[in-house]
Amino acid sequence: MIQLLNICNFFNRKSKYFLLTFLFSTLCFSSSTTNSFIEQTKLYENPYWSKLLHYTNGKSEIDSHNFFISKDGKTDLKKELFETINSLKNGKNNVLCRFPLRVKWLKENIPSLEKDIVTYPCAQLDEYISSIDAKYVTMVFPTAHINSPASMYGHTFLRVSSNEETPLISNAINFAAKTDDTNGFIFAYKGLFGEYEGRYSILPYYEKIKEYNNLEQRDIWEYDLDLTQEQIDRLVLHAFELKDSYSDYFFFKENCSYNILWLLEVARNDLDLVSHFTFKTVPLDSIKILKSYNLVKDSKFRYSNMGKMKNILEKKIENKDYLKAFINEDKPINDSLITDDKISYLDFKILYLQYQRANNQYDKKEYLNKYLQLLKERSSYSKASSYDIKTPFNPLDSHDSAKVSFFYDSTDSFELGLKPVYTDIYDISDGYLEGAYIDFFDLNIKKTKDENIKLDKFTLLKIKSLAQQDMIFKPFSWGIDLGYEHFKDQSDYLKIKPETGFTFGNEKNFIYTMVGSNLYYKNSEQLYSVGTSVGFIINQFKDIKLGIKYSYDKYNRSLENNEVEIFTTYKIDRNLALNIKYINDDLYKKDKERVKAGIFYYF
Amino acid sequence: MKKIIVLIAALGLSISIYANDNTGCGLGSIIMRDQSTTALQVMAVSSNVTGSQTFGITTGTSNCSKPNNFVSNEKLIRFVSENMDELAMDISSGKGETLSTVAKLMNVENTPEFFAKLQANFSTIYTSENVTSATVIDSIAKYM
Repeated sequence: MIQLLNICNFFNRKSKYFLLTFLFSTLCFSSSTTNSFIEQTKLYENPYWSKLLHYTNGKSEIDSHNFFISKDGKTDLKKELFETINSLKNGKNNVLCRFPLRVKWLKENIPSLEKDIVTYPCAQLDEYISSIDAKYVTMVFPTAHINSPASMYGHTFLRVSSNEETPLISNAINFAAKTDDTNGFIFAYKGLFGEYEGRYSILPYYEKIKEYNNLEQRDIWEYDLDLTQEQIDRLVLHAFELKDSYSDYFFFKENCSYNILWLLEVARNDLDLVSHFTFKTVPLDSIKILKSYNLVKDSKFRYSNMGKMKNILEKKIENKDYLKAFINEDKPINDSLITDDKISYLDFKILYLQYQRANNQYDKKEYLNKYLQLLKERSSYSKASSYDIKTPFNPLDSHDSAKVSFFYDSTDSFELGLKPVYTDIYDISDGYLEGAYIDFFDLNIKKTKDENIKLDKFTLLKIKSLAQQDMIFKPFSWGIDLGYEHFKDQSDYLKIKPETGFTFGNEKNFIYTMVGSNLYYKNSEQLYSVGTSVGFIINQFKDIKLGIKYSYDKYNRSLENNEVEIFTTYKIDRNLALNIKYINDDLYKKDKERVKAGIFYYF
Repeated sequence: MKKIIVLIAALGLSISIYANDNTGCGLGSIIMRDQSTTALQVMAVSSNVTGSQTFGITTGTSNCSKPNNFVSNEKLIRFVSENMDELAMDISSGKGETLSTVAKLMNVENTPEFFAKLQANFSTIYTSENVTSATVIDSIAKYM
C-alpha cells in the first residue's frame, strides 16, 4: 500500500514533470512555429503591415514613440512585428487593447497565433466600438469662405454615422495640428515647417457644423463613401489605434486631408492614396482621387447660415425698405409688410443676431435677451421657414488644382506657364468660389522673337479676395501679390503689390474697385506707385467667363501707367479651357496693344 | 528670405481659433471667435489647426441634470444640452435639422403636427434665459 502510494506519488510527480515538459515544449514549439511561419512568409514585408504603421519610403510618418511597440518601430517593420507578437504572448504593452486592428490582422495571417495570446477584457475599446456604431462613412469638405481666400485650400474630415437620418449626432474624425499659440506668424512658420504635432480627434458632427456653417459661414459638401461593413469596422479600429499618437504637421503636404486618407487606405487594402501626393495635398484633390476608385456614391450640399441669410435677402423678402432699421435699431416690424415678409424679417434678424454674437458684438446676457424675444415673436407666426437654395456646381467636377498654360502673343512671342495651385481670376470658377483667388509658385517663361527663353514672371504668392457687399454685409476686398517680374518688357524686379477696395454684385457677376500700390525693387533701384483699378467679372453664360479691368498708376520718376485688360475664357472640358486677352498698356515701349491667345490645361 | 516666407505663410495658412463659451446645459453656448486674435482673423479662418483635441464621442454622458422623461436616452440628453440655441431657433420657426434630430431621438412619428405644437407653445418650453436642457426636454415631451 505504501509502495503503491509511493508509486502513485512517483507517478504523480512524474506526470507533473511530463506535463510541464510537455507544456513547455509545446510553448516553445508553438513559438518557434509562429516565428518560423513569419520568417517563411515574410509577413513583415506584407504591404498591409506597412500601411497599418503608416510607412512611406521605409519609414513611418507617425512621430510619437507610443505608436510602436519596438523602439525601432519607426524604421523597422520586422522588429516591430516580432516585438508586437512577443508582447501579445506575454500580455505586455497592452497591445491587445491599444492596437485592435493590428491584433486582428496578425491573428488572421498567423494561424497559430490565436491560442498563444494572453487575453483579457478591453472595456474602453468595447465602449468606443459600441458607441460609435459605425455603419456609414462620409468624406466632409467645408468649402472656401469669400472673406478668407486663406481658407480656400479648405479642409476635409471623415464622418462616421450609425443612422443616415440623424447625421448631426454622428461622429467626425478629424486630423489637425495641436497648438495653443495665438500669434499668426508663429502659426504660419511652425505650420509650414512641421513644428506642430498633428493629431487625430473624434468629436460630434454637430460641433463641426457649428464651426463651419455657423461660425465661419462656409458651405459644406458631404460625399458618402461606398465601403463595406468590414472596411468600416477596420477604419473605426484604426482610428482608435491612432488616438494617442501624433505626426508632425506640414501645411502643404502632410496636412489634415493627407492624414485622413490613411484611414481609408487601411479600411480598404487595395486603395493607393497617399502615394499620389508628393509635394502638396490640396483637400479637393484628395476627394477627387476617391472618385477615381468609384468610392463616392452620393454628394450632398449643406449651406451655411450666411447662405440662408443671403437667400432671405436676395430671394425671399419683397419689401426691404424697413429691414436695416429693423435689424440695427430694434424698431418693431412695420405693420404694412405682408406676413411672409414679416416672417423673413424675423428669420433674418435671428440668424444675424447669432452671427453678431459669434463675432463678439454682444455679451451673453444681452444676446440671450434679444434672442429669446425674437424667437418668441417668430413663434407667433405658425408658418414654418424653408429655404430654396440651389445646389451649386459640385467641386468634385471642378478643374484640377495645377495648371499649365501656353500662349501666343501678338508681339510674336510665346509664353509658357506652370502653376501648382490653385485658381485665379482667369479660370472658370465652376466648383471654386468666384471672387476668391489664390496662387502659389506660379512660374512663367517667355520666348520673344529676338531673344532667348527667359523668366518673365514668378509669383511666390498671390491672393485676391473680391468679397461682394450687399445692403447688410460690408466686407472689404483685398489683395496681395509677391513675386519676381520682368517689368513692362524692360527690367527685372522683385514685386510687392498690396491693394484694398470694394466689390458689389452677386456671386456670378460683380464690379470691383481697388486702390493699391506697386512696389518694384532691384539692387539700387526702386519703383513705386499709387493707383486705382476698376473691373467687372461676368459669369452670366455657361462655360464662358468675361473680365474687364482698367487701372491707373502714378509712379515715382514721373511715370504714369494706364492699362486696360479684357479677357474671355471658354471651358472646353473639365480640365481644358481657351483664353484670349486684349491688353493696352502705355508703359510698353512698343506694341502698346497686344492680344494673347492660348490654352489652360489643368492636372 | 525667412521673413518673406513667414509673411506668405501668415497670409496663406489656414488657422482657426475659436472659443466655445460653453457653460453647459443652458442657452448661450454658441461658438465664438476668440478676441485675442482678431487682427489675424481676416486672413486666417479655417480649421487645419485647432487648440482643442478630444476623443469625445456623441453618446458620451452629459454632465447636465437629468430630465424626468427620456432619462436613459443619453444621446438625446447630450444633444439637447449642447444645442440649446439651435433647438430654440428651430422650434420657433417650426422647422430645422436640430428639431428633426430631436424628434427622431424621441421616436416621434407625426413630425409636422409635433413641430406645429411646439412652435405654438414656444414660450412654455423656453420660459426664460435660465432654462435648462432637462426642463426643455420635459416640456417638449408634453407635446408628443
